[in-house]
Amino acid sequence: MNSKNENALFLPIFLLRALPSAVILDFEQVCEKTHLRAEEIRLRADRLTDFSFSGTSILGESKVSGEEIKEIFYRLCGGSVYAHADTVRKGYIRGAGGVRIGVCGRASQTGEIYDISSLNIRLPGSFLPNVNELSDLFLEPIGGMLVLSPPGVGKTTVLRALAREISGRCGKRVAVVDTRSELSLGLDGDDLRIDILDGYPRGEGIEIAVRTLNPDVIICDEIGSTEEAKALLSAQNCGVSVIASAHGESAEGIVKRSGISELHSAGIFKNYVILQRARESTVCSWTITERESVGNSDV
Amino acid sequence: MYRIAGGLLIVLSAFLCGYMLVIKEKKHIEQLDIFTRLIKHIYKQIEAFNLPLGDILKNTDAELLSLINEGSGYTGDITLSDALLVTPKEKKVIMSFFSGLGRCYRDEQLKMCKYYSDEIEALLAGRRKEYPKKRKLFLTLSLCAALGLVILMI
Repeated sequence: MNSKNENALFLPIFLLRALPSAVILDFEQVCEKTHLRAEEIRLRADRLTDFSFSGTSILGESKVSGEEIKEIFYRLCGGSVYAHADTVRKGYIRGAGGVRIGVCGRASQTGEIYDISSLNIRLPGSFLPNVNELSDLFLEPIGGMLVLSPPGVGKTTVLRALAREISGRCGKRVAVVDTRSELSLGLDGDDLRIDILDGYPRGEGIEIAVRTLNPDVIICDEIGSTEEAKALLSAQNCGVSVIASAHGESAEGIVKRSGISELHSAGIFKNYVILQRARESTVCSWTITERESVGNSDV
Repeated sequence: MYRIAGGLLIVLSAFLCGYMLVIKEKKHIEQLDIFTRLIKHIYKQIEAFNLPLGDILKNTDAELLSLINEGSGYTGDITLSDALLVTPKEKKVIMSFFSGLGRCYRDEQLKMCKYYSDEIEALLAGRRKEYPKKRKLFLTLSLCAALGLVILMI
């Protein structure tokens, strides 16, 4: 299968139905030129379509009008915009198969979004990286892990892979707090000991998981608030290891951030995993930093 | 003898023609009633459960869906059945509803459903009011035409 067919087929069916044929053709042509895995399709009213490939942004030749964007938005909502009002207020809609679509437009006083002007379609990773080195750390109870990187490097994909490995090969009970319905994509398998709290607010989901599901490990994405920090501290008190992700470029930088600094002081995270990905590469690598090595740690 | 038989045939045919027109009018009214009930059903489902339209239509009675071509798996496209007897004006109202269905948030959607449900009910009420007169007209006219023809023949 050549890269053109592979990338065209990579688009889920509901996207193929929702996007104009000019955009799909543009997508295929850009894929053929670059031979890269597409990560994002950005549509902006009356502007050229923008495709992201492994950190590189490439403008296509197609343009969508304001009316076309509204029509695409309507179709991405499955013909029922009202059923997605809650997530649209938060700036996104969930598509089938773990596709998250960022939405922006004009906000009303009640929080509803009208006159949609931009759609950012984030395509999930098509494969899971080999995270044996990271999941092996959880074969014995050792404490948590924080996965860091700038946006778009692959934190969510790594968390997904960890959920699969730890609940499958490592035989641990894993609770996934999937606030944005992205983490649980591909976590099907008879042998996975996994509970998915889909759409739960992070802090609440962590508390519920600890109280009712008796997990060995809790996995959640993009922590940062004080409320989430409190929930994670309480999880640690119950002996549960936490794997989380955050935006950041270094462990030293992130442990100074409010919300994370308390967790670092409390020793929630035994290891900090910093992800990197070379430009135009589809594979991310990582470096593991132990808590004791991070500056300002209380040993 | 043959004339009498012929005359009877003409009268019977005319009566049947008139009766068919009456049935057609009745069916027209039933179709408007189905649309009204469908819109009210959609309204109630959205109000109570906020279900996506695909789920609402999947669990709707076949009778209520008999006038639309919704296709397998709701994708946002609803077209009307070819067997519709509605007038162009009524069709315009119905299509306005379906073209706007699902495109707005809950409160606006409910208001839209209410508005079009009331519009179609008003059209239906008008039709129902005219129905007895039309029935009499169709049957009487057809019989009179037939009798006139018979008299001319005889």
